[in-house]
Amino acid sequence: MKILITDDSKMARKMIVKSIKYTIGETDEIIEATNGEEAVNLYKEHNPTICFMDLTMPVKDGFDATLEICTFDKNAKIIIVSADIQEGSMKKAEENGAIGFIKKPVNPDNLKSMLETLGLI
Amino acid sequence: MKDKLTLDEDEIDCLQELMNISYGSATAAIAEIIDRFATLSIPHIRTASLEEFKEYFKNKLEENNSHYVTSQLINGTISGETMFIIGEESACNLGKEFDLEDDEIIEEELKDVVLEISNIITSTTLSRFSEQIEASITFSPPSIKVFQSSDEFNDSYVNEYNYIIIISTVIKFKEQNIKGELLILSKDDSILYIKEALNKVLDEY
Amino acid sequence: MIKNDIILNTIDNGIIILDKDLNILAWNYWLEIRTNIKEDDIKNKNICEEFSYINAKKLKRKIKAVLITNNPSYYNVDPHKFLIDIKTSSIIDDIFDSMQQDITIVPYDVENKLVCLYIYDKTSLHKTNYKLEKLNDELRDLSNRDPMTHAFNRRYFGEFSKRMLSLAKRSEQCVCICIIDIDKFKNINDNYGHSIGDKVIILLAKKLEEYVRTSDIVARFGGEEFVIFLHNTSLGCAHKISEKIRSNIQRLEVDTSTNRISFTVSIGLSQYEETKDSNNIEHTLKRADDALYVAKESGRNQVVIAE
Repeated sequence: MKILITDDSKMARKMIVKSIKYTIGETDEIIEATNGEEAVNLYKEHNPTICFMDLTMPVKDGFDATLEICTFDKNAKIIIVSADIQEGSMKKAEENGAIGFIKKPVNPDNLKSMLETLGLI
Repeated sequence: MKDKLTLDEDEIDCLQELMNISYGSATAAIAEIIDRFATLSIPHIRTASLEEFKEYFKNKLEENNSHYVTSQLINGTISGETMFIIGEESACNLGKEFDLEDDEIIEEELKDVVLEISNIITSTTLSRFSEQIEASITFSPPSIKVFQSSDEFNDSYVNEYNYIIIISTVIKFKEQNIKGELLILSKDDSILYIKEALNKVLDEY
Repeated sequence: MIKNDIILNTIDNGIIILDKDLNILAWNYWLEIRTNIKEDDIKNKNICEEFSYINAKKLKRKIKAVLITNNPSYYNVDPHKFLIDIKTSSIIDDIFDSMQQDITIVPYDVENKLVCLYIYDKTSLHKTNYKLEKLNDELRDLSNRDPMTHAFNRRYFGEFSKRMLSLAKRSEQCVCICIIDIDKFKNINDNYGHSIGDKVIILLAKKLEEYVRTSDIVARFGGEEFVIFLHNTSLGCAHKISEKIRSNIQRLEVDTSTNRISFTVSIGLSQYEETKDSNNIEHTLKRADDALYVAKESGRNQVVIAE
């Protein structure tokens, strides 16, 4: 499995990486992006299986990046990981193509639960 | 001695992320309470020494309109004081989001609204933050002061604090933007605790 | 077993338990005594229906905040400063008619959406604060104002003008300095005595306050000398104002025991200029002072503009 993690915080990316190791175990590759623009470019380059996306980021936010990726890849699997847990945000992300939403802080339990719900593990 | 107490790059990144999460909870709370959708800009965090803080505060008040400043004491594993600063324009915008009528947009009513929002942001943000670093804190009731100019700032009263964390953010509602700053003023022992706690979190990853 | 009832009814503050619809579920003894309303009579009633002056919208919102954040909220009750109106009984201290209260709202049972309100009597604290504020105001006045005329003193003028100058420079506005000196003041004192001299000075100070705007200040510099800081005023405008002051003053009269006397003033006027004054308002003052000297030498009772 190739996984793309997008978040402007190094710490947040580390947290997701750790949770992935606990739930999925070994993966083929983990790619990191620090904002929405990088995410779109790296997605095109590497075509990951799953993409974890933060919402509040500089240059391009998670909402826009999700929309863009889902436009050129109808089957993109984008899971939003954010501190912003309002219904409105979740709805907007879903409309843009996201398939799931994990509330920060990410831990092995909430990650496992989301992946199972989506049938990815 | 001073260097021991400053946060390094990794610690600041960790603090930024924890604050991000905490602030996210606060925004969600505000949105639910006043029944509006709100988005939160990336909280920009910087740290300051006492002198830098006094300079920053004076400059802020020099801008040509009034500022509402609330303060609350925090006690417990970390102790110190929190301040929330909001300019007049943002305070008026906030008033509108709280459904104040045009004739209610006066200082007395705005003070109340600012106190409320500051209480929600401070207590939610700090509760979430202390949860994540395994600290426990309680808050005193907030007080509010309106500053018309920087002259009114009596710089003797904050001298007990030597480490200040400044968190700037913009809360965007559908029609209004509200710019505010949450400050955490602390003394040596609290910063030491925060530093240790942040490193503990970092070590986990 | 801990008896909560005892604590509820012996504690020295008011305790009310409300549900999210503002119905009263508990009303403690402290409140019963002070309002003459028994708990049994007010239980399950809506607090805003019982006390119509309470802002229902605000209270509901605060309660909602408490239940959502699971943290305390505070009900600030300006301008009346109370939630429940309890009349104070003191005849001596009449600053407040009603008890001044601080209200804290805490979560009581989040699942069932119940909150607890604590009411604290802050009347004596607020009285002390009020008196302290008054004393502070007096103290500030003492340090900033001239005791005889109540005009600002030179020290305050120094601080004020410095600050206003930098503000004006930022907003690219003009400032002017106007120095006013009573003509032949020594003669007034010698002929009519110092108490008449003082009367003249006090009258002048009073009139000058009337002639200027609220953004300007009048300060007493010396015995019979006053300085005005004119904010956001062009030289032409300042000249008109000075001329008006001069002509109005010569029409004033002061009663002595034997007759009525009048007096005139000489005025020196300058406008702050970067090239001449290099960011120092004291230099502008000096130029106005030089202009004043010329006015005196040229026959008095006139306005002279500095070079």
